[in-house]
Amino acid sequence: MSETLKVVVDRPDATVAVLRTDGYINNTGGEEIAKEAYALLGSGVNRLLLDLEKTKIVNSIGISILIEILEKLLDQGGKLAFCRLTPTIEKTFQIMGLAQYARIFPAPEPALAWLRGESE
Amino acid sequence: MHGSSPLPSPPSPGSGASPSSAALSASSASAVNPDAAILAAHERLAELDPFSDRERLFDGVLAALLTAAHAERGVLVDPLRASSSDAGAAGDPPFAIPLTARDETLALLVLEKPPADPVGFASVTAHAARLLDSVRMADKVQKADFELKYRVWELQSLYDVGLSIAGTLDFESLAEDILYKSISLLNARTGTLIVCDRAADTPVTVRHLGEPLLDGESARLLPSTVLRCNTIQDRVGLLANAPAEKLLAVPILAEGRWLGVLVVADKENRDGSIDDFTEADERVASLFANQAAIALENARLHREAVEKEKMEREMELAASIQRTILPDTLPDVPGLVISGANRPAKQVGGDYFDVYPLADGRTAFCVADVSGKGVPAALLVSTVHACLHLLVPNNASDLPGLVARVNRHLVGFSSTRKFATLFIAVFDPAAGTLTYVNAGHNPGLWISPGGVNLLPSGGVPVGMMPGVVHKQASIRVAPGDTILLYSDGITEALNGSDEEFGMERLTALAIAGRVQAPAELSRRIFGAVNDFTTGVAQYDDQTVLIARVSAAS
Repeated sequence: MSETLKVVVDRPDATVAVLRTDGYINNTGGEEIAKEAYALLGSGVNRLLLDLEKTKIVNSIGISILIEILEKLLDQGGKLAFCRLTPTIEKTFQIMGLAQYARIFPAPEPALAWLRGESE
Repeated sequence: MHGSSPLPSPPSPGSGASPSSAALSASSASAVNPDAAILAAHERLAELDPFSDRERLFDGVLAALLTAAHAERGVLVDPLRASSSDAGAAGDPPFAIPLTARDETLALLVLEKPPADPVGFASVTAHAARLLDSVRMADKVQKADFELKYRVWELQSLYDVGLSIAGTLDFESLAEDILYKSISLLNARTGTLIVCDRAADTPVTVRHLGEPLLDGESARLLPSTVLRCNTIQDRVGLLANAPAEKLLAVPILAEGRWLGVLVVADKENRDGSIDDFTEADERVASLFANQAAIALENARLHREAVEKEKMEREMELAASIQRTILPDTLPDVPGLVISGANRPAKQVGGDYFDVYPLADGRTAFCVADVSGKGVPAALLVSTVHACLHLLVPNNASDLPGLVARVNRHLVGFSSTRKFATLFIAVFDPAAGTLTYVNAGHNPGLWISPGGVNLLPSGGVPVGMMPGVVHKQASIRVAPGDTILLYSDGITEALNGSDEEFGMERLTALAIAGRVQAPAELSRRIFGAVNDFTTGVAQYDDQTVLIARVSAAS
């Protein structure tokens, strides 16, 4: 795994967006995610799924950026979900409070269903 | 968002309680009557959401203050981040009022003239200060909350690594886990973990995140101390070219010996700059390096335990093979009373003995000792056993030819390190002769009224090299004569002082026992070896085969 994060944005439909990350969510990685997330938010998409299947490491600055993204999304009535986290990252999100305001799912499908309001 | 969901605010520049300067024109302020203006200002302050966007909050506070002051223009300055452009925006005003709480100036209001109602205005500035103070306190609480959660994360990570160490012996995945957790908790950008074997000369595990900071060969030359390199001058030669600005290298030590190194590089700051590594960072990195050392030691102990278990299973199998091959009882043969015994060593070697009654009334008997230990040795014994059982019945009259065929077979089907010493003899009761070939085995002892004679080797062990020729010898034996064959496990049995049992003791026993039954002499020899070694573990099989020419011959 590289320390440089890559983000691929997928738009399964008009209401949600999936951001697939590959790499380290640190300051630069977090900024990369934020750039894509804020662009989506600016275009009216406020339901985001972060698919972290290819991310094995995150640091506190990356987490703080994810919190900032989450704050902005919630401010605008949006929702944020995560899926395919490593056990370590999931535990980290629980500890750092991210899991209180964003939902964590094992796979993309249930996460997208929740973002679309099709499930609780 | 802040008001309803208190997410932990990360410590980051620009998100603190201290506001940036705000400059406003309040064109409507001068038209308000003094009392109403103070009241309106309080109301505006009361309506502000302390958790709203900082810029908006400060704009709101300034607007309220200008209303209360009947001022058209003013600047609300963050004292920590004051800038001349803020003051200039208000036309270089001469009148400044600090907004203080808990003896701390939270902001500075700069107006062009003093407020019309100083008392009423003071109540508004006090209100504004309390509002800013509450924001500041909330921010502090959120920062403290983030810090606390971060510490919990740190402890949890160490705890998890500890659990992983106890729960898995896959050092490779543990190494990656330890490296990633260290990088993550130290907010480093990249890292390298290098672990060597116990001799510290071969890197066995090398893990990187990002560009490698050093290679295994360079790592071996690092000192066994923590290296905190926040400037280029701090770097030792080996780290001089590491592709990073700042480095922290902590050694992985097992019982004080250097076994590897954990290096992390470039501690990130939220503003994109690189922070210095601190003593606290050293402690965290050292904790992870200690965990790596423990994991490494665990993996080594496990590997040794597995190897030991495998060896024990192998030994048991070898012992089982040997038990199957060695004769339980020896046949009654004409003209000889024979007794044989074998005591396997802890590490099963490969002694073999056997007696072959021949159709013409003669008797062949042998003692062999194969090279090596364990299953390979047991298999070689098995091969020698099979060869002799096939060849002896029809080839006992040509012992050199028989041994040559055994040699050819072993050379062809075993490696060069696999060979066997072999003493094989054929007793002819009618002729009263003993014919033998000694292929690299210990000399047999022939005990007769004339004394003790050695039956020396007439060639190299079988299986060692192709085409060798073994000499045959023949002696004339008489009733009462004893032939004593043995393996080097007897003569080389060691006591606690590393002395060998030796030929002299064996010869003395043989002479003293020449009137004893062979079985009794065999017991005495084993008893004497036992007494000599006094419980010291022996690493070679012990075998004795005694043939006494009986009166009947």
